[in-house]
Amino acid sequence: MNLRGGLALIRGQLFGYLSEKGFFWTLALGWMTAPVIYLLVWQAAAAGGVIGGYDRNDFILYYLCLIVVNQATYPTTHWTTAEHIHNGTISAELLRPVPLIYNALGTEFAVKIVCLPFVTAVVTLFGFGFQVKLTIAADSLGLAAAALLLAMLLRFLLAYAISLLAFWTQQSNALLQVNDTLVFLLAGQVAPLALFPPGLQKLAMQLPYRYMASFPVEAVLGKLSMAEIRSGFAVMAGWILLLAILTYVLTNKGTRKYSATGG
Amino acid sequence: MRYLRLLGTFIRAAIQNESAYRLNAVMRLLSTGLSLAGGIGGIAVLFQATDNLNGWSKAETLAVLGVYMLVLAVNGLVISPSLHKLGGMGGEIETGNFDYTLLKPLSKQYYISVREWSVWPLLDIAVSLGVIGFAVSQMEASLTAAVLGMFLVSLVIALGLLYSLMLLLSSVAFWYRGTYVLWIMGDVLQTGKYPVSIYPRPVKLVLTWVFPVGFIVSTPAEVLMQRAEPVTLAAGFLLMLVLFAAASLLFNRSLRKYAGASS
Repeated sequence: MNLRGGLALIRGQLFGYLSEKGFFWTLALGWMTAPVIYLLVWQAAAAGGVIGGYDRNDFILYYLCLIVVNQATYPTTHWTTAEHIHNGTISAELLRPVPLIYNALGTEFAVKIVCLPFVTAVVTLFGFGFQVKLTIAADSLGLAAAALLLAMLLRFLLAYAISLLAFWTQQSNALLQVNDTLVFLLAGQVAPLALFPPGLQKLAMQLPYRYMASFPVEAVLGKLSMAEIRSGFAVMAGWILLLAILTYVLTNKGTRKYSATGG
Repeated sequence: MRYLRLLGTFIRAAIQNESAYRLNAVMRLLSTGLSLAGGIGGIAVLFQATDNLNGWSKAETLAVLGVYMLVLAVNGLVISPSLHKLGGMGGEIETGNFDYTLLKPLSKQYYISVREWSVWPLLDIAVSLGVIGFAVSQMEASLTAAVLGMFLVSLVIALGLLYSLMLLLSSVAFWYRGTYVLWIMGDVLQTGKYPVSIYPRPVKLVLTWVFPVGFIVSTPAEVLMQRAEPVTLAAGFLLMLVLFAAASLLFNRSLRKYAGASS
Protein backbone atom coordinates (compact mmCIF):
# COMPACT_ATOMS: atom_id res chain seq x y z
CA MET A 1 0.00 0.00 0.00
CA ASN A 2 1.74 3.10 -1.20
CA LEU A 3 -0.66 5.78 0.02
CA ARG A 4 1.59 8.72 -0.74
CA GLY A 5 1.94 7.56 -4.31
CA GLY A 6 -1.83 7.26 -4.56
CA LEU A 7 -2.38 10.79 -3.29
CA ALA A 8 0.21 12.12 -5.71
CA LEU A 9 -1.63 10.42 -8.58
CA ILE A 10 -4.93 11.98 -7.52
CA ARG A 11 -3.36 15.43 -7.19
CA GLY A 12 -1.66 15.20 -10.56
CA GLN A 13 -4.78 14.08 -12.33
CA LEU A 14 -6.96 16.60 -10.54
CA PHE A 15 -4.84 19.49 -11.80
CA GLY A 16 -4.89 18.00 -15.27
CA TYR A 17 -8.68 17.71 -15.26
CA LEU A 18 -9.28 21.11 -13.70
CA SER A 19 -7.63 22.65 -16.73
CA GLU A 20 -10.20 20.90 -18.93
CA LYS A 21 -13.28 21.85 -16.94
CA GLY A 22 -15.29 22.75 -20.02
CA PHE A 23 -14.77 19.33 -21.53
CA PHE A 24 -15.96 17.54 -18.41
CA TRP A 25 -18.91 19.80 -17.94
CA THR A 26 -20.02 18.99 -21.48
CA LEU A 27 -19.72 15.33 -20.59
CA ALA A 28 -21.63 15.81 -17.35
CA LEU A 29 -24.43 17.55 -19.20
CA GLY A 30 -24.59 14.55 -21.52
CA TRP A 31 -24.79 12.07 -18.64
CA MET A 32 -27.65 14.10 -17.28
CA THR A 33 -29.85 13.83 -20.37
CA ALA A 34 -31.24 10.32 -19.80
CA PRO A 35 -32.55 10.99 -16.26
CA VAL A 36 -33.84 14.40 -17.35
CA ILE A 37 -35.84 12.77 -20.16
CA TYR A 38 -37.42 10.31 -17.75
CA LEU A 39 -38.07 13.12 -15.30
CA LEU A 40 -40.01 14.99 -17.97
CA VAL A 41 -41.85 11.87 -19.15
CA TRP A 42 -42.90 10.78 -15.66
CA GLN A 43 -43.93 14.21 -14.49
CA ALA A 44 -46.18 14.36 -17.57
CA ALA A 45 -47.58 10.91 -16.77
CA ALA A 46 -48.15 11.74 -13.10
CA ALA A 47 -49.94 15.01 -13.87
CA GLY A 48 -53.21 13.14 -13.33
CA GLY A 49 -52.50 11.57 -9.94
CA VAL A 50 -50.34 9.25 -7.85
CA ILE A 51 -48.54 6.35 -9.60
CA GLY A 52 -47.12 3.54 -7.46
CA GLY A 53 -46.81 5.77 -4.40
CA TYR A 54 -45.13 8.61 -6.30
CA ASP A 55 -46.91 11.88 -7.07
CA ARG A 56 -45.60 14.52 -9.49
CA ASN A 57 -43.45 16.23 -6.85
CA ASP A 58 -42.00 12.85 -5.78
CA PHE A 59 -41.09 11.95 -9.35
CA ILE A 60 -39.28 15.24 -9.88
CA LEU A 61 -37.43 14.93 -6.57
CA TYR A 62 -36.59 11.30 -7.29
CA TYR A 63 -35.04 12.08 -10.66
CA LEU A 64 -33.22 15.21 -9.49
CA CYS A 65 -31.57 13.17 -6.72
CA LEU A 66 -30.90 10.38 -9.20
CA ILE A 67 -29.01 12.78 -11.48
CA VAL A 68 -26.62 13.70 -8.66
CA VAL A 69 -26.23 10.11 -7.43
CA ASN A 70 -25.75 8.83 -10.96
CA GLN A 71 -23.02 11.40 -11.54
CA ALA A 72 -21.38 10.59 -8.22
CA THR A 73 -21.31 6.85 -8.83
CA TYR A 74 -20.64 6.76 -12.58
CA PRO A 75 -17.11 5.46 -13.11
CA THR A 76 -15.26 6.83 -16.11
CA THR A 77 -12.05 4.87 -16.04
CA HIS A 78 -13.26 1.46 -17.14
CA TRP A 79 -13.36 2.58 -20.76
CA THR A 80 -9.81 3.91 -20.63
CA THR A 81 -8.49 0.94 -18.66
CA ALA A 82 -9.90 -1.49 -21.23
CA GLU A 83 -8.58 0.68 -24.05
CA HIS A 84 -5.11 0.85 -22.49
CA ILE A 85 -4.95 -2.92 -22.12
CA HIS A 86 -6.14 -3.29 -25.71
CA ASN A 87 -3.55 -0.98 -27.23
CA GLY A 88 -0.71 -1.69 -24.82
CA THR A 89 -0.30 1.74 -23.23
CA ILE A 90 -0.98 0.15 -19.85
CA SER A 91 2.67 -0.94 -19.85
CA ALA A 92 3.69 2.47 -18.52
CA GLU A 93 1.15 2.26 -15.69
CA LEU A 94 2.35 -1.22 -14.74
CA LEU A 95 5.85 0.12 -14.22
CA ARG A 96 4.80 2.60 -11.55
CA PRO A 97 5.59 1.58 -7.95
CA VAL A 98 1.91 1.71 -6.94
CA PRO A 99 -0.85 -0.89 -7.37
CA LEU A 100 -2.44 -0.77 -10.81
CA ILE A 101 -5.84 0.19 -9.42
CA TYR A 102 -4.44 3.50 -8.09
CA ASN A 103 -4.33 4.94 -11.60
CA ALA A 104 -8.03 4.32 -12.04
CA LEU A 105 -8.90 5.50 -8.53
CA GLY A 106 -6.92 8.71 -8.98
CA THR A 107 -8.82 9.54 -12.14
CA GLU A 108 -12.15 8.66 -10.54
CA PHE A 109 -11.58 11.05 -7.63
CA ALA A 110 -10.40 13.80 -9.94
CA VAL A 111 -13.37 13.51 -12.32
CA LYS A 112 -15.80 13.48 -9.40
CA ILE A 113 -14.28 16.55 -7.81
CA VAL A 114 -14.48 18.38 -11.14
CA CYS A 115 -18.01 17.30 -12.11
CA LEU A 116 -20.05 17.08 -8.93
CA PRO A 117 -20.26 20.78 -7.97
CA PHE A 118 -21.33 21.61 -11.51
CA VAL A 119 -24.02 18.91 -11.60
CA THR A 120 -25.29 19.86 -8.15
CA ALA A 121 -25.63 23.47 -9.25
CA VAL A 122 -27.56 22.52 -12.38
CA VAL A 123 -29.86 20.21 -10.43
CA THR A 124 -30.56 22.95 -7.87
CA LEU A 125 -31.56 25.26 -10.70
CA PHE A 126 -33.90 22.58 -12.07
CA GLY A 127 -35.38 22.20 -8.60
CA PHE A 128 -36.21 25.91 -8.45
CA GLY A 129 -37.52 25.75 -12.00
CA PHE A 130 -39.98 22.97 -11.14
CA GLN A 131 -40.74 24.54 -7.74
CA VAL A 132 -40.32 21.24 -5.89
CA LYS A 133 -41.19 20.86 -2.24
CA LEU A 134 -38.34 19.24 -0.36
CA THR A 135 -38.54 17.58 3.05
CA ILE A 136 -35.71 15.34 4.17
CA ALA A 137 -35.25 13.74 7.59
CA ALA A 138 -31.79 14.08 9.13
CA ASP A 139 -31.32 10.37 9.86
CA SER A 140 -32.29 9.30 6.34
CA LEU A 141 -29.72 11.82 5.07
CA GLY A 142 -27.00 10.08 7.06
CA LEU A 143 -28.04 6.63 5.85
CA ALA A 144 -28.22 7.84 2.27
CA ALA A 145 -24.73 9.33 2.51
CA ALA A 146 -23.38 5.96 3.65
CA ALA A 147 -25.31 4.20 0.89
CA LEU A 148 -23.92 6.67 -1.65
CA LEU A 149 -20.30 6.00 -0.66
CA LEU A 150 -20.82 2.24 -0.91
CA ALA A 151 -22.65 2.70 -4.22
CA MET A 152 -19.64 4.54 -5.67
CA LEU A 153 -17.38 1.69 -4.59
CA LEU A 154 -19.72 -1.02 -5.91
CA ARG A 155 -20.27 0.54 -9.31
CA PHE A 156 -16.57 1.23 -9.74
CA LEU A 157 -15.53 -2.29 -8.77
CA LEU A 158 -17.91 -4.02 -11.17
CA ALA A 159 -16.93 -1.86 -14.15
CA TYR A 160 -13.24 -2.14 -13.28
CA ALA A 161 -13.39 -5.92 -12.98
CA ILE A 162 -15.05 -6.12 -16.41
CA SER A 163 -12.46 -3.86 -17.99
CA LEU A 164 -9.72 -6.13 -16.61
CA LEU A 165 -11.20 -8.98 -18.66
CA ALA A 166 -9.56 -7.28 -21.64
CA PHE A 167 -6.34 -8.99 -20.47
CA TRP A 168 -7.86 -12.19 -21.85
CA THR A 169 -10.28 -11.04 -24.54
CA GLN A 170 -8.37 -8.02 -25.95
CA GLN A 171 -11.64 -6.09 -26.30
CA SER A 172 -14.16 -5.69 -23.54
CA ASN A 173 -16.00 -2.68 -24.93
CA ALA A 174 -19.21 -4.51 -25.74
CA LEU A 175 -19.32 -6.15 -22.33
CA LEU A 176 -18.89 -2.75 -20.71
CA GLN A 177 -21.73 -1.47 -22.82
CA VAL A 178 -23.95 -4.36 -21.70
CA ASN A 179 -23.04 -3.51 -18.12
CA ASP A 180 -23.95 0.16 -18.64
CA THR A 181 -27.29 -0.83 -20.19
CA LEU A 182 -28.06 -3.07 -17.22
CA VAL A 183 -27.29 -0.23 -14.85
CA PHE A 184 -29.58 1.97 -16.88
CA LEU A 185 -32.44 -0.55 -16.79
CA LEU A 186 -32.15 -1.98 -13.30
CA ALA A 187 -30.82 0.92 -11.24
CA GLY A 188 -34.08 2.83 -11.32
CA GLN A 189 -33.40 5.19 -14.21
CA VAL A 190 -36.16 4.06 -16.56
CA ALA A 191 -38.63 4.11 -13.68
CA PRO A 192 -38.45 3.87 -9.89
CA LEU A 193 -38.20 0.19 -8.97
CA ALA A 194 -41.48 0.45 -7.03
CA LEU A 195 -43.24 0.62 -10.39
CA PHE A 196 -41.67 -2.55 -11.81
CA PRO A 197 -43.72 -5.77 -12.08
CA PRO A 198 -43.23 -7.82 -8.85
CA GLY A 199 -41.09 -10.60 -10.39
CA LEU A 200 -38.63 -8.20 -11.97
CA GLN A 201 -38.58 -6.11 -8.83
CA LYS A 202 -37.51 -9.11 -6.73
CA LEU A 203 -34.73 -9.93 -9.17
CA ALA A 204 -33.54 -6.31 -9.22
CA MET A 205 -33.29 -6.30 -5.42
CA GLN A 206 -30.78 -9.18 -5.53
CA LEU A 207 -28.64 -7.91 -8.42
CA PRO A 208 -25.96 -5.31 -7.70
CA TYR A 209 -27.40 -2.72 -10.10
CA ARG A 210 -30.12 -1.28 -7.90
CA TYR A 211 -27.55 -0.44 -5.25
CA MET A 212 -25.54 1.67 -7.70
CA ALA A 213 -28.08 4.47 -8.03
CA SER A 214 -31.65 4.06 -6.87
CA PHE A 215 -30.99 2.68 -3.37
CA PRO A 216 -29.40 5.88 -1.98
CA VAL A 217 -32.12 7.97 -3.67
CA GLU A 218 -34.95 5.93 -2.19
CA ALA A 219 -33.22 6.09 1.18
CA VAL A 220 -32.87 9.87 1.19
CA LEU A 221 -36.48 10.40 0.11
CA GLY A 222 -37.68 8.18 2.96
CA LYS A 223 -39.31 5.62 0.66
CA LEU A 224 -37.78 2.65 2.50
CA SER A 225 -38.57 1.06 5.84
CA MET A 226 -35.77 0.38 8.33
CA ALA A 227 -35.90 -3.36 7.54
CA GLU A 228 -35.58 -2.68 3.80
CA ILE A 229 -32.60 -0.41 4.41
CA ARG A 230 -30.89 -3.01 6.57
CA SER A 231 -31.32 -5.83 4.03
CA GLY A 232 -30.23 -3.42 1.30
CA PHE A 233 -26.94 -2.70 3.05
CA ALA A 234 -26.41 -6.43 3.57
CA VAL A 235 -26.84 -7.28 -0.11
CA MET A 236 -24.61 -4.37 -1.04
CA ALA A 237 -21.82 -5.42 1.32
CA GLY A 238 -21.97 -8.95 -0.06
CA TRP A 239 -21.53 -7.77 -3.65
CA ILE A 240 -18.70 -5.39 -2.74
CA LEU A 241 -16.80 -8.14 -0.95
CA LEU A 242 -17.26 -10.53 -3.87
CA LEU A 243 -16.18 -7.97 -6.45
CA ALA A 244 -13.20 -6.82 -4.40
CA ILE A 245 -11.88 -10.38 -4.28
CA LEU A 246 -12.60 -10.83 -8.00
CA THR A 247 -10.76 -7.60 -8.86
CA TYR A 248 -7.76 -8.70 -6.79
CA VAL A 249 -7.59 -12.07 -8.53
CA LEU A 250 -8.10 -10.62 -12.01
CA THR A 251 -5.41 -7.98 -11.49
CA ASN A 252 -2.92 -10.59 -10.31
CA LYS A 253 -3.57 -13.16 -13.03
CA GLY A 254 -4.09 -10.56 -15.74
CA THR A 255 -0.87 -8.65 -15.22
CA ARG A 256 1.05 -11.91 -15.25
CA LYS A 257 -0.57 -12.96 -18.50
CA TYR A 258 -0.17 -9.54 -20.13
CA SER A 259 2.41 -9.03 -22.81
CA ALA A 260 2.70 -6.10 -25.16
CA THR A 261 4.16 -6.19 -28.63
CA GLY A 262 5.89 -3.50 -30.60
CA GLY A 263 7.47 -0.35 -29.25
CA MET B 1 -18.98 5.24 -60.47
CA ARG B 2 -15.58 5.39 -58.83
CA TYR B 3 -17.24 6.88 -55.77
CA LEU B 4 -19.61 3.92 -55.53
CA ARG B 5 -16.76 1.43 -55.86
CA LEU B 6 -14.95 3.17 -53.00
CA LEU B 7 -18.05 2.77 -50.88
CA GLY B 8 -17.82 -1.01 -51.36
CA THR B 9 -14.19 -0.96 -50.26
CA PHE B 10 -14.99 0.97 -47.10
CA ILE B 11 -17.73 -1.48 -46.14
CA ARG B 12 -15.53 -4.53 -46.81
CA ALA B 13 -12.81 -3.13 -44.56
CA ALA B 14 -15.33 -2.63 -41.78
CA ILE B 15 -16.48 -6.25 -41.93
CA GLN B 16 -12.93 -7.58 -41.89
CA ASN B 17 -12.08 -5.39 -38.94
CA GLU B 18 -15.04 -6.53 -36.89
CA SER B 19 -14.64 -10.26 -37.53
CA ALA B 20 -11.41 -10.27 -35.50
CA TYR B 21 -13.18 -10.01 -32.15
CA ARG B 22 -15.65 -12.84 -31.65
CA LEU B 23 -16.51 -12.54 -27.96
CA ASN B 24 -17.21 -8.88 -28.59
CA ALA B 25 -19.69 -9.98 -31.27
CA VAL B 26 -21.68 -12.11 -28.85
CA MET B 27 -21.77 -9.20 -26.43
CA ARG B 28 -23.00 -6.90 -29.17
CA LEU B 29 -25.95 -9.24 -29.77
CA LEU B 30 -26.67 -9.20 -26.07
CA SER B 31 -26.40 -5.42 -26.03
CA THR B 32 -28.92 -5.04 -28.87
CA GLY B 33 -31.33 -7.41 -27.13
CA LEU B 34 -31.02 -5.55 -23.87
CA SER B 35 -31.58 -2.11 -25.31
CA LEU B 36 -34.63 -3.45 -27.13
CA ALA B 37 -35.97 -4.94 -23.90
CA GLY B 38 -35.22 -1.69 -22.10
CA GLY B 39 -37.00 0.47 -24.64
CA ILE B 40 -40.11 -1.69 -24.77
CA GLY B 41 -40.02 -2.32 -21.01
CA GLY B 42 -39.83 1.40 -20.32
CA ILE B 43 -42.93 2.03 -22.41
CA ALA B 44 -44.73 -0.95 -20.86
CA VAL B 45 -44.10 0.31 -17.31
CA LEU B 46 -45.18 3.79 -18.31
CA PHE B 47 -48.45 2.67 -19.87
CA GLN B 48 -49.26 0.42 -16.97
CA ALA B 49 -49.77 3.61 -15.03
CA THR B 50 -51.63 5.58 -17.68
CA ASP B 51 -53.15 4.77 -21.05
CA ASN B 52 -52.66 8.11 -22.68
CA LEU B 53 -49.58 10.32 -22.54
CA ASN B 54 -50.49 13.81 -23.75
CA GLY B 55 -52.59 12.28 -26.52
CA TRP B 56 -50.22 9.45 -27.46
CA SER B 57 -51.35 5.85 -27.12
CA LYS B 58 -49.08 2.90 -26.35
CA ALA B 59 -48.86 1.71 -29.96
CA GLU B 60 -48.05 5.23 -31.16
CA THR B 61 -45.31 5.69 -28.57
CA LEU B 62 -43.92 2.31 -29.64
CA ALA B 63 -43.83 3.55 -33.24
CA VAL B 64 -41.82 6.57 -32.08
CA LEU B 65 -39.38 4.23 -30.33
CA GLY B 66 -39.06 2.18 -33.54
CA VAL B 67 -38.29 5.23 -35.64
CA TYR B 68 -35.83 6.42 -32.99
CA MET B 69 -34.01 3.08 -33.11
CA LEU B 70 -34.00 3.12 -36.91
CA VAL B 71 -32.57 6.63 -37.17
CA LEU B 72 -29.99 5.86 -34.51
CA ALA B 73 -28.97 2.65 -36.28
CA VAL B 74 -28.44 4.39 -39.64
CA ASN B 75 -26.50 7.08 -37.83
CA GLY B 76 -24.34 4.41 -36.18
CA LEU B 77 -23.89 2.56 -39.48
CA VAL B 78 -21.93 5.27 -41.25
CA ILE B 79 -22.61 8.90 -40.28
CA SER B 80 -21.41 8.75 -36.71
CA PRO B 81 -18.32 6.54 -37.20
CA SER B 82 -17.14 8.61 -40.17
CA LEU B 83 -17.60 11.98 -38.54
CA HIS B 84 -16.17 10.84 -35.22
CA LYS B 85 -13.05 9.78 -37.06
CA LEU B 86 -12.78 13.38 -38.22
CA GLY B 87 -13.73 15.49 -35.24
CA GLY B 88 -14.22 13.11 -32.33
CA MET B 89 -11.86 12.26 -29.48
CA GLY B 90 -8.52 11.22 -30.95
CA GLY B 91 -9.94 12.10 -34.37
CA GLU B 92 -7.90 13.24 -37.34
CA ILE B 93 -8.20 16.95 -36.62
CA GLU B 94 -6.70 16.34 -33.22
CA THR B 95 -3.93 13.95 -34.23
CA GLY B 96 -3.05 15.75 -37.42
CA ASN B 97 -3.70 12.70 -39.59
CA PHE B 98 -6.11 14.91 -41.49
CA ASP B 99 -3.01 15.95 -43.50
CA TYR B 100 -3.22 12.64 -45.35
CA THR B 101 -6.95 12.85 -45.81
CA LEU B 102 -6.56 16.22 -47.50
CA LEU B 103 -4.16 14.68 -50.00
CA LYS B 104 -6.68 12.10 -51.23
CA PRO B 105 -7.78 12.83 -54.81
CA LEU B 106 -11.54 12.97 -54.23
CA SER B 107 -14.24 15.19 -52.81
CA LYS B 108 -13.30 15.90 -49.19
CA GLN B 109 -16.84 16.13 -47.92
CA TYR B 110 -17.82 12.85 -49.60
CA TYR B 111 -14.78 11.04 -48.27
CA ILE B 112 -15.06 12.17 -44.65
CA SER B 113 -18.80 11.43 -44.64
CA VAL B 114 -18.79 7.83 -45.83
CA ARG B 115 -15.37 6.34 -45.22
CA GLU B 116 -15.96 4.58 -41.90
CA TRP B 117 -18.62 1.89 -41.49
CA SER B 118 -19.76 -0.13 -38.55
CA VAL B 119 -21.35 -3.52 -39.19
CA TRP B 120 -23.47 -4.09 -36.11
CA PRO B 121 -26.06 -1.37 -36.68
CA LEU B 122 -27.36 -3.51 -39.58
CA LEU B 123 -28.79 -5.80 -36.93
CA ASP B 124 -30.25 -2.78 -35.12
CA ILE B 125 -31.90 -1.67 -38.36
CA ALA B 126 -33.61 -5.04 -38.71
CA VAL B 127 -34.75 -4.96 -35.08
CA SER B 128 -36.08 -1.41 -35.39
CA LEU B 129 -38.05 -2.32 -38.52
CA GLY B 130 -39.57 -5.16 -36.51
CA VAL B 131 -40.60 -2.73 -33.76
CA ILE B 132 -42.12 -0.32 -36.29
CA GLY B 133 -44.01 -3.17 -37.98
CA PHE B 134 -45.34 -4.42 -34.66
CA ALA B 135 -46.42 -0.93 -33.60
CA VAL B 136 -48.23 -0.35 -36.90
CA SER B 137 -50.04 -3.69 -36.58
CA GLN B 138 -51.33 -2.52 -33.20
CA MET B 139 -52.79 0.65 -34.64
CA GLU B 140 -56.26 0.90 -36.07
CA ALA B 141 -55.35 2.68 -39.29
CA SER B 142 -54.24 0.37 -42.09
CA LEU B 143 -51.08 1.01 -44.05
CA THR B 144 -51.39 2.06 -47.70
CA ALA B 145 -48.67 2.41 -50.32
CA ALA B 146 -49.10 6.17 -50.22
CA VAL B 147 -48.45 6.29 -46.47
CA LEU B 148 -45.42 4.06 -46.86
CA GLY B 149 -44.09 6.35 -49.59
CA MET B 150 -44.59 9.40 -47.40
CA PHE B 151 -42.86 7.57 -44.55
CA LEU B 152 -39.81 6.97 -46.72
CA VAL B 153 -39.75 10.62 -47.76
CA SER B 154 -39.94 11.71 -44.12
CA LEU B 155 -37.10 9.32 -43.26
CA VAL B 156 -34.90 10.79 -45.98
CA ILE B 157 -35.61 14.26 -44.58
CA ALA B 158 -34.84 13.00 -41.08
CA LEU B 159 -31.50 11.50 -42.08
CA GLY B 160 -30.61 14.58 -44.12
CA LEU B 161 -31.25 16.75 -41.07
CA LEU B 162 -29.24 14.46 -38.83
CA TYR B 163 -26.30 14.33 -41.23
CA SER B 164 -26.27 18.10 -41.66
CA LEU B 165 -26.28 18.65 -37.90
CA MET B 166 -23.52 16.13 -37.36
CA LEU B 167 -21.41 17.71 -40.10
CA LEU B 168 -22.02 21.14 -38.62
CA LEU B 169 -20.91 19.99 -35.19
CA SER B 170 -17.84 18.17 -36.50
CA SER B 171 -16.77 21.26 -38.43
CA VAL B 172 -16.73 23.13 -35.13
CA ALA B 173 -13.85 20.84 -34.14
CA PHE B 174 -11.65 22.75 -36.62
CA TRP B 175 -12.15 25.92 -34.61
CA TYR B 176 -12.31 24.60 -31.05
CA ARG B 177 -10.03 21.67 -30.68
CA GLY B 178 -10.70 19.33 -27.80
CA THR B 179 -14.36 20.17 -27.32
CA TYR B 180 -16.22 17.13 -28.48
CA VAL B 181 -19.47 18.78 -29.46
CA LEU B 182 -20.37 15.70 -31.52
CA TRP B 183 -21.13 13.90 -28.27
CA ILE B 184 -23.88 16.39 -27.55
CA MET B 185 -25.78 15.15 -30.58
CA GLY B 186 -26.02 11.59 -29.29
CA ASP B 187 -27.34 12.86 -25.96
CA VAL B 188 -29.84 15.27 -27.47
CA LEU B 189 -31.11 12.56 -29.83
CA GLN B 190 -32.09 10.45 -26.81
CA THR B 191 -34.99 12.82 -26.24
CA GLY B 192 -36.47 11.31 -29.42
CA LYS B 193 -37.28 8.07 -27.59
CA TYR B 194 -40.57 9.70 -26.67
CA PRO B 195 -42.79 11.95 -28.82
CA VAL B 196 -41.54 15.53 -28.48
CA SER B 197 -45.04 16.81 -27.81
CA ILE B 198 -45.06 15.25 -24.34
CA TYR B 199 -42.29 17.59 -23.17
CA PRO B 200 -42.94 21.00 -21.60
CA ARG B 201 -43.36 23.80 -24.13
CA PRO B 202 -39.89 25.42 -24.01
CA VAL B 203 -38.18 22.02 -24.35
CA LYS B 204 -40.48 21.16 -27.22
CA LEU B 205 -39.65 24.36 -29.10
CA VAL B 206 -35.91 23.73 -28.76
CA LEU B 207 -36.38 20.15 -29.94
CA THR B 208 -38.29 21.31 -32.99
CA TRP B 209 -36.24 24.22 -34.26
CA VAL B 210 -32.77 24.19 -32.63
CA PHE B 211 -32.05 20.46 -32.47
CA PRO B 212 -34.86 19.24 -34.74
CA VAL B 213 -35.40 15.92 -32.97
CA GLY B 214 -39.09 16.45 -33.66
CA PHE B 215 -38.55 16.37 -37.42
CA ILE B 216 -36.02 13.57 -37.13
CA VAL B 217 -38.06 11.13 -35.02
CA SER B 218 -41.59 12.29 -34.23
CA THR B 219 -42.57 13.40 -37.74
CA PRO B 220 -41.88 10.05 -39.47
CA ALA B 221 -43.85 8.34 -36.71
CA GLU B 222 -46.72 10.78 -37.19
CA VAL B 223 -46.68 10.03 -40.90
CA LEU B 224 -47.16 6.35 -40.11
CA MET B 225 -50.12 7.24 -37.90
CA GLN B 226 -51.48 9.40 -40.73
CA ARG B 227 -51.53 12.34 -38.38
CA ALA B 228 -48.80 14.43 -39.99
CA GLU B 229 -49.77 17.52 -41.92
CA PRO B 230 -48.10 18.14 -45.31
CA VAL B 231 -47.01 21.53 -43.96
CA THR B 232 -44.87 19.82 -41.33
CA LEU B 233 -43.11 17.72 -43.95
CA ALA B 234 -42.53 20.77 -46.12
CA ALA B 235 -41.11 22.70 -43.16
CA GLY B 236 -38.81 19.79 -42.37
CA PHE B 237 -37.65 19.63 -45.97
CA LEU B 238 -36.91 23.36 -46.01
CA LEU B 239 -35.03 23.14 -42.72
CA MET B 240 -33.01 20.26 -44.13
CA LEU B 241 -32.02 22.26 -47.21
CA VAL B 242 -30.96 25.22 -45.10
CA LEU B 243 -28.99 23.10 -42.63
CA PHE B 244 -27.34 21.07 -45.36
CA ALA B 245 -26.22 24.20 -47.19
CA ALA B 246 -24.98 25.77 -43.95
CA ALA B 247 -23.12 22.62 -42.92
CA SER B 248 -21.44 22.17 -46.33
CA LEU B 249 -20.46 25.82 -46.37
CA LEU B 250 -19.03 25.73 -42.86
CA PHE B 251 -17.14 22.49 -43.53
CA ASN B 252 -15.51 23.79 -46.69
CA ARG B 253 -14.73 27.10 -45.04
CA SER B 254 -13.26 25.26 -42.04
CA LEU B 255 -10.92 23.29 -44.30
CA ARG B 256 -9.02 26.51 -44.87
CA LYS B 257 -8.67 26.96 -41.13
CA TYR B 258 -6.93 23.61 -40.71
CA ALA B 259 -3.21 24.00 -40.15
CA GLY B 260 -1.97 20.57 -39.13
CA ALA B 261 -1.52 19.43 -35.57
CA SER B 262 2.20 18.94 -34.98
CA SER B 263 4.63 21.70 -34.19
